[in-house]
Amino acid sequence: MMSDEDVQTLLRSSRYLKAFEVLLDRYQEKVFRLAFSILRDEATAEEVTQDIFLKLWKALPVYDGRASPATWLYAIARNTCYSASRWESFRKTLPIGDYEPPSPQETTSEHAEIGQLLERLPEAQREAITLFYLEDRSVHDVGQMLDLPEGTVKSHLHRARQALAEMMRSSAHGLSRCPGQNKRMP
Amino acid sequence: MDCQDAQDKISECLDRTLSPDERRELDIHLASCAQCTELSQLQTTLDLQLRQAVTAPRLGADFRARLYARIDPKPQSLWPHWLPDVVYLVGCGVAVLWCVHLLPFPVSRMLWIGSLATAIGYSLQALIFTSLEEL
Repeated sequence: MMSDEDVQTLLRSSRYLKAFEVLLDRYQEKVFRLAFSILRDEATAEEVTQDIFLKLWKALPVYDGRASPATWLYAIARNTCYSASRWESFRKTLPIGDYEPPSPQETTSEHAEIGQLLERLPEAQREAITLFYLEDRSVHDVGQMLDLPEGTVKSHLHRARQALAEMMRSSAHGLSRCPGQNKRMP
Repeated sequence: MDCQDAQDKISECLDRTLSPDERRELDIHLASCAQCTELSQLQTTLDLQLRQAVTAPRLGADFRARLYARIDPKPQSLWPHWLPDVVYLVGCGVAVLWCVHLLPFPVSRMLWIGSLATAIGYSLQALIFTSLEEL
């Protein structure tokens, strides 16, 4: 399999289609998982992954080689995901008739419970811990994908675990939800 | 090792970044601290649940086909692809006829030289184009 250096060589010689295919082979699943960790919806993540690679394709001729192709691709991916996330948040504020919520996925009750607990974490912690388990528990990969030092990733993971453990303890004692926490604004 | 250190090490252990020596120190602390042992068991259970719950989704089978359908590998020209060849051949023909009309040489020789120059020119530009496309 070709390395990132090979991709840089291809880009320097303007062989964009070949470079694009190599990047797609190497990173399409990782970029999809990054998108999923940020957007939390499989269908949306797949659509955004399409947009990310489309942006990558258009940007290949202006790649300046200062960052590695992976770092550059992850930066495009994060920016696209955060834009999509803001758009999704805006869409959800539209009147009900204009927004169709995603269909719930089939999950066991235990998985659903963990999923609900993850939803209650701050965004940075939730992204780090979700990506950590999606990326086969590699702190290094999570750091590269989120552009964070490994120490910061560990800190997010530690805090997320503490918060989740606290929520599980509270849940065991029947205090899982603060009063009014799930109430919607009128 | 105090309990605060132990809590950090429990998390690092789950991150798989704990060295064997640190792991031994943690085990020694856990053997003598019920509170940290309880926390360690809770975190281990949580880790197991997260591993089972957070599973990697897979891209749809048609992901690449849909992506390539949106990507235009070569910008589409406004003109038909055969137009440059036709323009070249017509241009050469006009030039040869003009030379036949203006220059004081036998017509057959002029036509022969004109045809040869047209063929060589066409082959050369085709060669250059093919080389550029392969780059």
